Amino acid sequence: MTPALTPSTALFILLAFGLAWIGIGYLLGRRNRNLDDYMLAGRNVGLALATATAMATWVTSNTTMTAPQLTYQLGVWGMIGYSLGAVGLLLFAPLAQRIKAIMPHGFTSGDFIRRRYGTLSWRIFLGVSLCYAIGWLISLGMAGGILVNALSGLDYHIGMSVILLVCVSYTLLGGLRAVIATDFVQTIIILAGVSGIAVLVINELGLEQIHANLERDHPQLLNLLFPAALMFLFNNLLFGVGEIFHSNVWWSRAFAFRESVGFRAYLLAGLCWLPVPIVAGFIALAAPSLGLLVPSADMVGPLVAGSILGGTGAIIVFIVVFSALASSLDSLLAATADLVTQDIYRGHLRPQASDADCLRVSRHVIIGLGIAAWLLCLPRIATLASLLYFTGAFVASTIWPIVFGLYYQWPRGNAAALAMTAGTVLGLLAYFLIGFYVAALVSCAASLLVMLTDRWLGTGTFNFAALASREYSR
Amino acid sequence: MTTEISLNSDTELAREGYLVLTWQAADTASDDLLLQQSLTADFASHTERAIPVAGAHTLTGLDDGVYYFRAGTADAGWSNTVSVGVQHHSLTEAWGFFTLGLLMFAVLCGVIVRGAGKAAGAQQ
Repeated sequence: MTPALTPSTALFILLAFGLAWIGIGYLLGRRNRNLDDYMLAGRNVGLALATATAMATWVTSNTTMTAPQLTYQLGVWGMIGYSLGAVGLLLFAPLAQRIKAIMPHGFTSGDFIRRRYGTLSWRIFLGVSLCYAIGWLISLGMAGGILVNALSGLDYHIGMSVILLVCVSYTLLGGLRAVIATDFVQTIIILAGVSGIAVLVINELGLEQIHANLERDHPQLLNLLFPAALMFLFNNLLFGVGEIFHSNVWWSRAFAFRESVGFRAYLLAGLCWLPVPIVAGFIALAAPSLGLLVPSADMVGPLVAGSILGGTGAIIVFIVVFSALASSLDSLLAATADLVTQDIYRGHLRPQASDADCLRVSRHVIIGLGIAAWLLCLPRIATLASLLYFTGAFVASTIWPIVFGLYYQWPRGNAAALAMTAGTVLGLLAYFLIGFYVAALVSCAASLLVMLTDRWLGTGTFNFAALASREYSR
Repeated sequence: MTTEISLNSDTELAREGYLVLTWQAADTASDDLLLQQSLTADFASHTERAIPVAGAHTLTGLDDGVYYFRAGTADAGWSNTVSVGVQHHSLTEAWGFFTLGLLMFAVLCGVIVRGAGKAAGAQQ
């Protein structure tokens, strides 16, 4: 099959948009004066930018590429199940308000776990969080390579390398301020592009033809009692909740948003995000009607768009997915660098480090993360969905320690540590023994059981006022 | 001319109704091949599609059953026959996980609403 784009067109788009993002990063980076500016955009982000960055970060290459993959593998429920990822954003709205209220000077999600639960839980949480961050980074880098390869035939390694280089560059130059500004532009591109593609697909093929082909050759995709898809539904919801509740990507935004903005921003972002995976996933259902060979399920979205829409459509898809990818990759790089700098460098290695030291280290960490992600992306180790849902076993174990810990005095440190450990171990067992579509579910259930046992056995008396003070000297 | 073609599947038992077939013809000079799919080992009744001499294809949404695949052409000869069983998880198992998820979601919403209410009350 001939690729929809020539390799030179793909490279031109990559470089043109890449240079634009890097330019924005450079311009905004010049306004950064201190660590709060660089890591948290001055803790003063307003509603429009806050909503756009929350939404754009959550519309990842996983939304634009894994949603079609899951629709192609799990059918209608795969598509709807993926859209339930919006619940994570919606439920984080009250949490963001609470976080800003009880930790006005906080930097990372790790800060909360350490001060709320103590060192053991903190270290386990950092392990969970870094495993997730690396898994997500790899999936984003891989998605870049797969996208370029599917649409232009350009080697996977070239696309993956260029996309990582662009995102590392502008995150490095501009910090969170650049991340949020580029997210705003990327949100507009994503929404316009995804809607346009879906309309074009329906006009080109017609719903009747798509339905008839599915019924004949892929009957289970239309089956509302498709067993694996039923199992996947709440697994995906809880996975999304776990991702958002624990990840510093979302906590750093809660700290960065102006007071009273967090609740409304996350609520609006969730509502706007909800239809995106349904629209993006829907186009995968057209693959059988087109008689496409799908070498790997995670290539189905770009393949369908390229096949139906030709060169112009392929360019739109390319720009949309590249924007989605960049908007998440930059956020993840910035937030993970914050976590490593605050919780590992300052928390473990140099507690007396000044803000200036942390700013310097943070930049080195961004480069290090970029290199690590590039190395791990070199071998294409799994499909996007199977890689992504592997991390579900980790993140879903953190939901209950975070929610109970934010609102209630009774949870104790050892219980939180045990909940995260038991959840992760049992979730991984479920992943390997049953399938990727139950890992987060089992992890979350095990973690809840431990926390409820702690509630039953005794009562902690944590004082939330202890979280309010500023910890580090400047 | 007979071409040596190898065909493989990523699984022998698909619990989710999807599988990946990969194939490779030793003689790359030959034209496109056919990939045949049948519910019987003798391919008496089958569907087929054109495929390149090397590649992969992901099949999804299959019903329960045993599926047989082979690649090749009448002239070039046929590959080995690959058989894959599709046996979906039981609905009892599926509803079990669904209910567990629904329960945890309900508890989560309850805990957050109650916690947020308590926090708001404490602030006032």
